[in-house]
Amino acid sequence: MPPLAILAIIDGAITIIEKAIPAFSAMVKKGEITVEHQQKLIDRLNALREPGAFDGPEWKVGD
Amino acid sequence: MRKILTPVLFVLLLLNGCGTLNPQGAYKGDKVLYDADLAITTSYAIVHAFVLWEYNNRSNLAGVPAIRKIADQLRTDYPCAMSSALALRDAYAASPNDGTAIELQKALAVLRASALQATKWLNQSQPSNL
Repeated sequence: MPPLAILAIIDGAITIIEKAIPAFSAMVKKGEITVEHQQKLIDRLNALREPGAFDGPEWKVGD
Repeated sequence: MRKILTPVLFVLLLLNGCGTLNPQGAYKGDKVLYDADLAITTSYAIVHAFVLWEYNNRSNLAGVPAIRKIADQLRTDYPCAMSSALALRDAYAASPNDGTAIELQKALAVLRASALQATKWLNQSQPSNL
């Protein structure tokens, strides 16, 4: 496998871990889930309802 | 690295939130709805990170066609799965009962499978030093 591909794959693994760890931390946190945290989650969910959620070039097939 | 990432994400996608909800919050103590929203937003974050990474590194990954194939499949399937999950999430929120809860869990299972698919490339690419 070309070195650039290997580097890109390592970069991809790190990128996904970076996305996953904050969510994981939120899930395992003990105690009360605060009003503010709940509102943040609702806001994140509502952002996914916006038309732009899947409009970026990264979502286009066949480019 | 792939031996670490895949199990971590698997556990992540199966776990639900462990805390208790402040009943004054937006979810009014409904843990099913909170866990659903957490699963939806987490799956989006993972799938989006994957397709964006593939898009930004396409030339470097030209020799690993399996990655492009998985990314394109997610680009096609995931938005529909997300739309369906949001609709069923709203149906549950409007009428929380066993029927709507079961349908919501089915939709969430599809999203979890999509997020796990975003890690398949690690197994298929097989670089010797990862």
